[in-house]
Amino acid sequence: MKTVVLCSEVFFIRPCCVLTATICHVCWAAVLVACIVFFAAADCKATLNISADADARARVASGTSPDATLEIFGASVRKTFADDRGDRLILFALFESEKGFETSSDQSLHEIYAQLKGPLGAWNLTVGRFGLPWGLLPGFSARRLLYDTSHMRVLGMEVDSGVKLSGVRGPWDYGVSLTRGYGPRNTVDAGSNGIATGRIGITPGETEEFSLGLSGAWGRSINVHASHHGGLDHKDPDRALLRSVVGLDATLYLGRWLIRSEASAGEVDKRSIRTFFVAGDYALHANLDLNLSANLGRHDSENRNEWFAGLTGRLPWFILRGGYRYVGYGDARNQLTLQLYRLFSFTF
Amino acid sequence: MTKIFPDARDYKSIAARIDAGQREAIEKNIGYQLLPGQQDVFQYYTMTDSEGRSIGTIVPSSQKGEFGAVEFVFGYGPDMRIQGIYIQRARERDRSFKKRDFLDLFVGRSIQDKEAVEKIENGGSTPGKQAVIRGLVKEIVAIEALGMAGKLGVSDKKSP
Repeated sequence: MKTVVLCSEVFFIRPCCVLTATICHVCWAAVLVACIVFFAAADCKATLNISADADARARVASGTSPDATLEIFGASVRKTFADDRGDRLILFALFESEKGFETSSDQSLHEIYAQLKGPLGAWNLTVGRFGLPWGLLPGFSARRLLYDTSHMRVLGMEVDSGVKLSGVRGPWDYGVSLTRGYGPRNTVDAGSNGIATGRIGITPGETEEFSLGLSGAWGRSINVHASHHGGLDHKDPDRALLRSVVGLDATLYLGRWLIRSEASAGEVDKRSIRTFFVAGDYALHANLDLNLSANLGRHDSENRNEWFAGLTGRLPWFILRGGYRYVGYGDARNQLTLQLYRLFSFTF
Repeated sequence: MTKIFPDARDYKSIAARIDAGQREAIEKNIGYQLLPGQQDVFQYYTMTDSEGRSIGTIVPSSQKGEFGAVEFVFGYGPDMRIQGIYIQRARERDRSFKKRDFLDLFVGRSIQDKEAVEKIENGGSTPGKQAVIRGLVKEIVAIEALGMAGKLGVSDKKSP
């Protein structure tokens, strides 16, 4: 088994890193050429979207003193260029600052990419730093919510730098990426990182009430927030972990319920991992939701489970969220959080 | 989008600005204030064929129902008649507004005849149906106010 793992690393993962870097350079060159062609085209049209959001939280947790902070501040720009037939080039950048602006390590260009779009979105070539095609990620992120998903445990990150091919054809959607394995922070070259991630999904029927996805990931990546998301304990936070995982995700609209779930299994750092995440939003009123979630993980024989219950209120100018979270490991097991969230978005 | 325009080969995203006068006219016509995300921009998609010619317009819409937003999409062709409509996301108790026998009531209706659309099922017998009818009327009024009725993809934004 060890021989098989070592051989796969030598013959596939390390060349994969070189291949990833080469593919990135070629794709960046292709996108630059496309940009020049589009900018030079007389009939090029464009739309611009500028957005900013702020997530402020007050938290009381057992074993710690209460605190209040600007949890996340984000600002993004999206520019879409179209030729005579349709949208063709999308440029996007998202800057985020976590925990206020106190330390530089909490600020990052969380996403920045160029996306070449094929007819009707049947294929899209994306180069840069983008969301990984895994599980619920293509359509859902818990970064502004009061609970965590299992992505950090399984992949170590939600965004990474590299190249992605994705698209939609009829009820099917797909995505496959080759990325560096450093997440949104480390942009320095070198290291034996590199991870391939892919997902295929289907949304059958007329009413789009149910969707299902199958994902896989293989390669090396670091844990971007190792101490915060119930990841495997290790002393070196920048050490890339070998990952070989598969996942199944489902989203269901059932009456007043919106239910999202994701299950993963495989090996991370040569230890078996099983995770199960489920989140349900129940509409109590047009502007009030009950939120429940469970984020369960098992690494070898070690359980790392989190449970959450809360409410979301949509006020005229803000979203107000509050909830209780129980974390079954670590010191701060009982957490009460109140969040004020606002999104500004302008399209030109 | 190809559910409504199966012959489409591509689409263009268009963001038409709504100025203060147009917004006032729309809100006066529909009888209520537009939601914050709908006050300044009218988003739509021009569907094109293999030659790049416009063959129709897709408009995504969102209207408040009994338990949150009812999000739906409709499309109209060169003859200004609704070619199709379908529900994207909603969490209403009653699901009859998602069924084809209700949604097909809109197909073939002119987007220049707001009153006819308002009268469908007497304005809707369930909160979900009422949300679809009110949302469609809102978009029809906006199309008229922006001068898009009778044209396809007029308000294309040119790159700077």
